[in-house]
Amino acid sequence: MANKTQIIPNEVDIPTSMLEATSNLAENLLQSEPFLRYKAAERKLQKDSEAQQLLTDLSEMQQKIRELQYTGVISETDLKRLRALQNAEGTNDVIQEYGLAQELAITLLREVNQEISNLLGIDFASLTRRSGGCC
Amino acid sequence: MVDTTWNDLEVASKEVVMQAAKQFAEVLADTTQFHEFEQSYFDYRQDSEAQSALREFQQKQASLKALRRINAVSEEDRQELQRLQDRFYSQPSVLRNTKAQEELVALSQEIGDILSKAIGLDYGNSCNSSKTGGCCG
Repeated sequence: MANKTQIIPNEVDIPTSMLEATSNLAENLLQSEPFLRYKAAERKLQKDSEAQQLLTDLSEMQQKIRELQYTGVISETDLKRLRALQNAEGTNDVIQEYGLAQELAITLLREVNQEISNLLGIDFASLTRRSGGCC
Repeated sequence: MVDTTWNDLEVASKEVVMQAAKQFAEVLADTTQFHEFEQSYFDYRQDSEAQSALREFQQKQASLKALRRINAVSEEDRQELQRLQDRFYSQPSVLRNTKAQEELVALSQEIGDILSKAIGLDYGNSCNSSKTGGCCG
């Protein structure tokens, strides 16, 4: 039983068997079809400079509109530009495939969490969330 | 489209993924943190003093519900409610279960972080049914 636990940062002792089961689950998820598709879509999106530029432009435009909502008047030109960027995003195959593939990967992840939670009798995902970590 | 073609032999079927999830749950259920969480909860439920402290607190809380709504609870009642709450939370079985819960959460958060980093998706937030996408939707 020596070497049963491994000390890792953040003061929690995680048994080796737990680390192995976690790693095994992650590997299987990454080898599943939804995740292979998601990772492929992610790589394709990262390599597509046009799609990247579109996402940056859209994000900047959305930010600008948000700021104008509080501080000033939104011009018709800004709104037209926003709609044009949203349309371009909606018809961009690379971005759309990324969004869909991510959704499918998340669907599988939720099913996995359901399986784990049913066996434990407690929602595992809610135990993993760090307060203030998101949003 | 080289990216999207993969060898069928290297693809993990859903059954295989679910089997890994099942094994993961079994190992987690066998950790000292999970055992302590379950046992301390069982003991707390069996602890008549803790249950009676809980009932007294809840009864007092319920009796003040209407007054609380119009912010008309007397200082005396407020202190009594606080005393009953403190009494409940200082019960040994409650303290033990709270500590066990904190330790299980700490373990789960670490595991969740490892899992999220490995798969490139935030596990906890992706599995939050009130959200549609990843973190912050």
